[in-house]
Amino acid sequence: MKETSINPVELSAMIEKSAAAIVEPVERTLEHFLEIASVKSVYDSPVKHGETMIIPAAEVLGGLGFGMGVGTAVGENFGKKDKEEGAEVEEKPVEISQSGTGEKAPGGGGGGGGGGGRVFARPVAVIISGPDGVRVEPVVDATKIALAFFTALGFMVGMAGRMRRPPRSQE
Amino acid sequence: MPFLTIETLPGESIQTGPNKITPFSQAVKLLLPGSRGGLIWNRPVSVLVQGTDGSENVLPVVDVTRIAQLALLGIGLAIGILFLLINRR
Repeated sequence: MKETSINPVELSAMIEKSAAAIVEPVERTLEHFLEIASVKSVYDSPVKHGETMIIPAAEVLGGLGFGMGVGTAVGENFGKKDKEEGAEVEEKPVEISQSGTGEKAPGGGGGGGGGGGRVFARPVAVIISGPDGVRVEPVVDATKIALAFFTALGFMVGMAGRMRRPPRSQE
Repeated sequence: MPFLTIETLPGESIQTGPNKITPFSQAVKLLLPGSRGGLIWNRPVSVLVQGTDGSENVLPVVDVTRIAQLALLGIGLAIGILFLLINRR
């Protein structure tokens, strides 16, 4: 079994490097995410048809979340046994197994992160510019309105049903 | 970067015939501290139409679907509360 020794300072530098590798794509993704707050994400490029020009307008809603953690096992148990026995504590290099046999290394560290997000877009209106002037035509989503109607109707029917039910007798 | 920002931004002006159209959007940004994520809600608010004669006209962008949804929700809740009040008497 081949063993190499890594200094704790080198180990923490390695962890910092891996953390930076995680943070970089997170920041890049966040920058892209912030772009949805621009006007260009709401108004699309104009479409020309004869003398008429149409600009579609949409509502954009986006959410994003990240989480990450970096840690090392060196600080917890490093030199603990020596302290318990009352011996002088000195910094020793951390031994990390490179044998690949799955044996536990005396020290180590690592990091990880994850995240998720979603962006919703919904057409709201269309700006039409023609020879007779400029007007804003709303885009009506009949499905959403119907769903809201049936939800409200269900709530009202439910309440009416509760009204008709005879009150509970108290014994 | 502030936690919550609400800003109305103008877009690029578009020349169409005698009119110049400038769209406006409103963005609500809620950003978590430490670049951990956030929430952005961006919607169109109005369109400024400028004529060659110097006339300016602001056309609001009305979200009919949202208004209808909120109205139905409000009516449903109001009638439900009314039923509840009648039942208590």
